[in-house]
Amino acid sequence: VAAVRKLIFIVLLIIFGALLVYGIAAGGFDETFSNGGML
Amino acid sequence: LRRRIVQLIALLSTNSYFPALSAGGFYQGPLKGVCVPVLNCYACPLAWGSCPIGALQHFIIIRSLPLYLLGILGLVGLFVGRWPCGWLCPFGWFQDVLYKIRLPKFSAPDWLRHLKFVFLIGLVGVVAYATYEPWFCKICPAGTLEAGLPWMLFKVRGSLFAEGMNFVTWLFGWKMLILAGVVLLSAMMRRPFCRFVCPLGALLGLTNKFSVLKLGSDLDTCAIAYARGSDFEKCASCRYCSEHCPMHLKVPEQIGSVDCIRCMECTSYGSVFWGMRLRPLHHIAKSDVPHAALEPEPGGDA
Repeated sequence: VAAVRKLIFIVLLIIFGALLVYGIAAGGFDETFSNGGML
Repeated sequence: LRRRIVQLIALLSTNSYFPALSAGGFYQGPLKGVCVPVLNCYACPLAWGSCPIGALQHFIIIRSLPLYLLGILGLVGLFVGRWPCGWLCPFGWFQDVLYKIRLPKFSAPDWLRHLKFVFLIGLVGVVAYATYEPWFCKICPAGTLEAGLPWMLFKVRGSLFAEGMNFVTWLFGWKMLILAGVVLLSAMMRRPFCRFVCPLGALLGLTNKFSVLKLGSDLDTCAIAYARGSDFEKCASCRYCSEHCPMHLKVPEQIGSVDCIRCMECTSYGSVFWGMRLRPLHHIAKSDVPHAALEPEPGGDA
């Protein structure tokens, strides 16, 4: 069970890490910054 | 007390752009692109970062996949689940403080907890997509408190009075009404906004199931029973832990639920432990916490 948990953790870590890196590379960081319309 | 200190440090560290107080603007540097994992309004004059729910609506409105945002929230959730709600969120802290006001306390039906998913999917998702407007931000009481009120107070000063009064629209009145309602409810029940409304709490709560930080229970090691001289030291279902839970959860039954904010209050009494999923749980020695059981019970029938 512990090994499965570690495996799930590593898989999710890779998925979310990839989302973050790809999101920033795709301009997500700048797009978030441009949300001044909320004001 | 430790949690209060961390909440205060978090509040100050994410809202410390003090030049805004004199200049009257708000921070718009590169750090604003970073989403903090709490409900901290983008438009707060003192805020360094962005609110993830505001950013999520923004991504939905511009028809862009919120990959960056999912990455941040996913990583935070993967490690600590909903822990930021309990330890970092300024609006959570605000509700914790309000609950200390001496007003009649009451509870609400448990099914209301599901409403936050209606707000998440309905208002943050569908309505923002359909109307091209961030409607949750427009009614968010955290935004009103952190941004709407400071902006209005700044605008109505001196020569800017007329401009400031333009700021007070029907929408502003509606926001103030909602904020007043949340303030009143927060003084009478535990964290109503976090429990019933917060879409960020709903999102992060989903990660409670698989987060590395987790809670476990051992009903044979109750410090309350130990301090009361019980022979068996087993949980006697006195509900002392539940009465002290800021989210009004049934402890230990619901410690792993979507609503658990990992505040660790219940870990002070021995039956509930925290730990990292990849390592053994951290057990608290019973002798460290018997003072907890010596406090008067909330119901007063101890």
